[in-house]
Amino acid sequence: MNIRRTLHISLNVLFGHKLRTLLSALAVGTGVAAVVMMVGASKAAQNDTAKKIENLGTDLISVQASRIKNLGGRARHGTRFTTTTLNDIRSIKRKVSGVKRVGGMFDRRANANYKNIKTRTMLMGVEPEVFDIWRISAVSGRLYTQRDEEKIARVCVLGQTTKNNLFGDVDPVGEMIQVGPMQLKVIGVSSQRGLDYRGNDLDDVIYVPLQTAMKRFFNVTYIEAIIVQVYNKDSMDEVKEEITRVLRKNHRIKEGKEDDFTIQTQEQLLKSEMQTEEAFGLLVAVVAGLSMVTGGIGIFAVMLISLRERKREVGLRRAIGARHKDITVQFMLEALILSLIGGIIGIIVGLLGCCIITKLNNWETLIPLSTLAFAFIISVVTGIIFGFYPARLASKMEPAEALRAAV
Amino acid sequence: MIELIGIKKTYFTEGKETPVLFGIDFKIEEGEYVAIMAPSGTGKSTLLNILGTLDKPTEGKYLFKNRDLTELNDDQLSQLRNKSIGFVFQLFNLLNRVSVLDNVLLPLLYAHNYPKDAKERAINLLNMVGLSERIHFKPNALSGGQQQRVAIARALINEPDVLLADEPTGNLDSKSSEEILNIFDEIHRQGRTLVVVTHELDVAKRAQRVITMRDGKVFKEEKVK
Ligand SMILES: Nc1ncnc2c1ncn2[C@@H]1O[C@H](COP(=O)(O)OP(=O)(O)OP(=O)(O)O)[C@@H](O)[C@H]1O
Ligand SMILES: [Mg+2]
Repeated sequence: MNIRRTLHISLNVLFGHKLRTLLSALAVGTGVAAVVMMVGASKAAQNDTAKKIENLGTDLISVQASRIKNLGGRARHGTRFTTTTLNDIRSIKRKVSGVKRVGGMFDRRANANYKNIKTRTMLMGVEPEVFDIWRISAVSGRLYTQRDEEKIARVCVLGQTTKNNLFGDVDPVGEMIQVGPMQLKVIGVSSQRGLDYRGNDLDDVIYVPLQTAMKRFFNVTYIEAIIVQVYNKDSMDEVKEEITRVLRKNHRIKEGKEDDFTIQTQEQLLKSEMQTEEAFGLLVAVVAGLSMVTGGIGIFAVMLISLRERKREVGLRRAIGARHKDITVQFMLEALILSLIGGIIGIIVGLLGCCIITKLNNWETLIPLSTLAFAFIISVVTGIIFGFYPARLASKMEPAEALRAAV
Repeated sequence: MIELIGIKKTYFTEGKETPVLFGIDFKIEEGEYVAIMAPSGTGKSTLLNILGTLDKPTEGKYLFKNRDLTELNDDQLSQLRNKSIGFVFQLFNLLNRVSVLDNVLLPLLYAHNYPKDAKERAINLLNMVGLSERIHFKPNALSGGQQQRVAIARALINEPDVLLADEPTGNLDSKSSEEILNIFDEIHRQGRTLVVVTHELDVAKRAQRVITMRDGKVFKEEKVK
């Protein structure tokens, strides 16, 4: 059998039945688009998380004053404790080797207003060293210093989102804003940090000296978290162990009792988040697989229906010399063409969808080549699997019987 | 060239037996033009399908160029049909989405090798049936008579030993029928064997010999000219 001629005839037949061809191709296309879109988007999300880990720094350890449980892949704060204090920060600085920088943190949501403009934002009390740890600089004015910290100064640095909310394009440096019951002087605007791995805006924030937050706002003696930067990534585990020992001693925790804090590296923190994304990826594959089956059934149904009205064509082809095998090949070829057209439509639509999703999420748009290859292979396989049965049916028709079929 | 010996055919469908042919014997020589006449619904198509190896007799022997066809398998029969038998049906059986030229070329799809001069051959045949102006038309843009002429060109593309026609004019007006029968005369003059099945005397009379069937048996054979 001459494949080139067969292809030529099959294409003529398929394009002669435009609606039928389009319908079955669309069935496959939908499936392929789903695969490309979902897998592509989840890849982009994973890539984004990975990049955020890099950005956050792989040399960071966070100490939370609570027990963090991992529930369903997502970190949940368990019991909060009031035992972690400024004293612990001093102990870590003095006793733990390999530590480059340490900073304490206490944050709460708060209302802020400038004249009659109001916003709800995060009031974040952090020690000035945290600016260095997070690589924050001032884009206007200045950041507060250790002196401000010691003076429990009523100053603040605005994140860019908060600055925009309250001041718009006006330079806020030197202005007074009201935060809760307190007047604070704006001394600077911080450089942009972007979104965290959950999509929270890290620039929707007002930074104040840690002790200003503790003593003037919330009247507490404890802190919520300590952020530690190490000199050498490789010594991370030892540093963690030492911090644990120091804190347990400070908090007078007896042997055998649980810690009243949680130490995690920045990486661990995000990896648990990544795992949920991987699980999501699997779900995506399953859903995508299911929609492929739907596409396959589309081809299957259209081929079966068209088979009924093409009975006499099969009869004729048998009469002019087509063997069973030739009929099978012809119908398989047609199924394959349908699924390939579907595959191409699906890849285009899927890529567009993928671009839109990544744009909306501010992720980097990746063209996932492996996904495209995967989608392509899947559509071919769909064509072969779901085209096989109709092709067999066609080839098994008795020629005399097929020719007798009504028009 | 063709010899039927005691051909019987009974259909078995849904547990019912329908005996149609009750023992047919006849011979057709090479280059002969034979008409097989019988009333409607009495097994003409059945007989033609058996002659064309599209169906198998329930009993009897079929010799085609001295080969016993009852011994060939399905693929061998397909090849035989491709090489040696041309079909013309009452309902033309053209592919409507495919051009006239491609319809004529269709049997070559299943030939052992695709001849280099295929297109030339097809155009010559279309010329012979008077359709050389219409080679790029789709069949449904043609009249019934024109469609049947395309079907004749298709049946001849592989230069078969015999042309089998099942009521070739059954769906045509008298003018178109006349054209078709004239083409058959021409094909016969060129030396090809023709077997035409019909229930119309006018059509049968154009052949050299008429085999009349009645009750699933050969009733009489007579030379016309
Ligand atoms: N596959 C089948 N199963 C059962 N009976 C059949 C089958 N094919 C044909 N018959 C019966 O066999 C008889 C002969 O049919 P056939 O088609 O050979 O007649 P015909 O002479 O060609 O008729 P027509 O003039 O309508 O073309 C009819 O009674 C028909 O109903
Ligand atoms: Mg008939």
